[in-house]
Amino acid sequence: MNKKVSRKKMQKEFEKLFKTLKTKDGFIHLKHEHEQGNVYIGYLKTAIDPNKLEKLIIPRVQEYIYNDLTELNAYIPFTKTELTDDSSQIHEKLVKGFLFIYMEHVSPAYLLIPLPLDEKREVSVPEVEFSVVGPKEAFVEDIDTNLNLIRKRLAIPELSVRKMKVGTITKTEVAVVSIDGIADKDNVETAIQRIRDVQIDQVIDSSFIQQTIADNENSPFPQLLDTERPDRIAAILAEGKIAIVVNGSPHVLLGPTTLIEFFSAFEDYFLNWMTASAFRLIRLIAVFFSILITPLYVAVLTHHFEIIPHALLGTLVQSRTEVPFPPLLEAFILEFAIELLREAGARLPTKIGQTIGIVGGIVIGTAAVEAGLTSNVLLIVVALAALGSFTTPVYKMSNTIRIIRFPLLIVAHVYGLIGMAIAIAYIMVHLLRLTSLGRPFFAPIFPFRPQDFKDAVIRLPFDIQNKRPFQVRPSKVNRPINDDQNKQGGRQWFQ
Amino acid sequence: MVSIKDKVQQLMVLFLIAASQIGVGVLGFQSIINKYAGHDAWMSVIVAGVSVSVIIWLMYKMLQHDEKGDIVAIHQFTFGKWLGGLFSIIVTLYFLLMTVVVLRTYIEIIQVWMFPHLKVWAFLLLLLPLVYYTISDQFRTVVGVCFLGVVYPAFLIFVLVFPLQYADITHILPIMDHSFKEIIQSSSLAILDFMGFSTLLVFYPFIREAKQSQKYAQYGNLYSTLLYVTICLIAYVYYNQSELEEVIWATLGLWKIIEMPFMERFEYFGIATLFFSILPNVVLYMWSSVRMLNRTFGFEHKKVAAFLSAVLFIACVIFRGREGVNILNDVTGRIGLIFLFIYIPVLFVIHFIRRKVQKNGSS
Repeated sequence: MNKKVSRKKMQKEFEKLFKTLKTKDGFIHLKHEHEQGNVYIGYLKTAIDPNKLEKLIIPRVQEYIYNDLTELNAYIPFTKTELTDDSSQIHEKLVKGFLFIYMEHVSPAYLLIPLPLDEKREVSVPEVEFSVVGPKEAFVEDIDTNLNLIRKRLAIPELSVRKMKVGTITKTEVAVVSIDGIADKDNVETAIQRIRDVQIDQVIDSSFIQQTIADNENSPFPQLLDTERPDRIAAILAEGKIAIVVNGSPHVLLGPTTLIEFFSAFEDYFLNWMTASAFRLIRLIAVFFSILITPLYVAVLTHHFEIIPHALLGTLVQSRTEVPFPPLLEAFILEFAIELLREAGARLPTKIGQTIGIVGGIVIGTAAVEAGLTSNVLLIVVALAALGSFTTPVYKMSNTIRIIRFPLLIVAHVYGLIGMAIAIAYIMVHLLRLTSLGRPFFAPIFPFRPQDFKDAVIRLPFDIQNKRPFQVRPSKVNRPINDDQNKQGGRQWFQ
Repeated sequence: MVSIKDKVQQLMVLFLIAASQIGVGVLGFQSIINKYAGHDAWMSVIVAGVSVSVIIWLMYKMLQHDEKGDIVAIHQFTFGKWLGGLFSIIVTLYFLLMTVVVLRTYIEIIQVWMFPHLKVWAFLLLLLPLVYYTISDQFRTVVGVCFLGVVYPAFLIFVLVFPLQYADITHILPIMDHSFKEIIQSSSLAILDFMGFSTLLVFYPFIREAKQSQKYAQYGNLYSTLLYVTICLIAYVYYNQSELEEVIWATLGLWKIIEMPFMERFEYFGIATLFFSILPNVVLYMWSSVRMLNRTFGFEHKKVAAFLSAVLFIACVIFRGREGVNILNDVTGRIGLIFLFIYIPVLFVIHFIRRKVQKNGSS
């Protein structure tokens, strides 16, 4: 008697639910007449995979013999199905890509089957961190695919993945990946704690996490490196660093990192150490050049003519005779033009972007010089500075380099070389104070760690790099490279 | 107690000592120490270096007995709470005065060589926030500035090879032409450049296993002594004695003749680069003053830092002109001599006696 009442109640609840669902966009329901009572199948059209529905679910519901949903469930070829009487959670499940089957007069009354539509991008070639040699796989938006790409390269039981949900609205999955026994527990704890403490409603991309868990949010420098290369992530995990994978983002974060790491391209490890070191040095020089050269031009031409040798003075003066502006304004005009071109190029589709680059570079540049708005020496200087900032392998760092030049320009105009020295000291002190996941950002320069220099400004051969970077405080310092060390050093990770 | 996280590795003592000793003095000490010992004054630098080494030894002997191990603790132990506090304030003022000297002399050089119309206050407005930014955080930042302040400008020494092509070795011959007394007199003038190491009395507890770090302090002193001797010798073989009496900043004169295909008048670049040697001096002295006040009275570190930055600003603006700076240098030099060679040994002796007395009393 009691049961019958509850079934009646259930029927009522179902009709109520059905009414609300019918008003929703894309809700589809099928009715199948069964001898026990009607069977309803309901789902949201955009949330589920129609192929699976038609091939695997509908035939079974219509043709197989069953008395209640428990029996039907046994035929359904999916795991993670749910049987329930509770009609209140149905709506929520539908949105997540479930399909429900309701059967009258039986208990449990609902069978929930997950059929989410997996719209995934194929794993493709890295575009931001392209390398001529080496693996050609890049992360995609789906977190499971990304974790799989990492697991493939580090198929060891010690690889630990800790998942959590962040964002009050988006409830984005975030995974902290590390290797137990190598990565420092403090680092992992710090990362997890900070991610748990994130108080925002939406996490659309890993950059959101990158900014909210940064040690110093008011810094132009990114304090976690982001990469789209799974091979790079595998390598840094083996070094004892940790990776943070965010669902919906093709960029994986890694930390603790250092300033120098931002200037190392992963391709450096695919070339022999001499070439790689040379390229790293070139890159670092390019960065200094890019930041300093325009301010230097302004400082020297505004205050310190005496520095310029006689031979060079002629060239400089000649190129500036027609220019009616002070060097600062001249530099600002050109820098602004370059920034405009860059922004326009970045916002436009690739093909139009290229055209803009050519038009801007040739037409505007030449015209500016011919019109006498800027000197052609400065044109060369600014163009080279722009080129220098492009050599930085990590996009976010190259943005920092782009903007850091402007305060320098102003102090160079006001205080000349002394002003530049002070401004550089500001940047230096700022970098000294910065940390990444609580570890000093300016290492190995300061705190001075000669050991870590083997893979910093230059990259020495692999067999010389027999210790993991001290920066990350790895639990195991020695890298098992030759046999002797393996005997002393416990597990073999790479063989 | 200073937590282990705030402490720095022993090697950094080398850079702290070296950075505190290399400063604005390198630009013009040659013609100052020239006064008594003439062309033999480079030996005065060695004498100064050795005597500093002895004082460092004394300081370590004194510091390693105390758990908290800085001068405030020593003062309180030796003189009691009130008198000790008073002495601590005096030392704080001495550190502040040294900051003013360093900063004001540097500004003077900028005014003479680069910007004759530079307003002191305008320059300080740009600089002082930087000083505050450095000293308001952990000690680590100050050490970092000191480290880079030794490493980065070190290349300037190679530039001094250029003037050697005009060198004349006879300028420093015959060696030992002056009496020992004259050399000592000159070395008392040379000491002014070395004085920064007295901050050791304050940062000692921030060193990991500080008791064993003395060798690094001595290496630091050795480095700066060698640097000064080298610069001194280069200047002495380049200039003759009558020229030396005329030039005020001999090192800048040496830089002036350097010609490179892309750059002339190297001293402009040199003065700017030397800022990275000046900054450690300033921040180390300032940090020490702040730390002393913080330890003596328990004031909040950041507030004291802000307050002392303001004091520094006013003090630097007050001293005007070349004469003012000269007087400032002379007076501070004397005070520093008294502090290092009279006060520290006396303190050492009293501290020693107090310790013995207390030991006997307790046992």
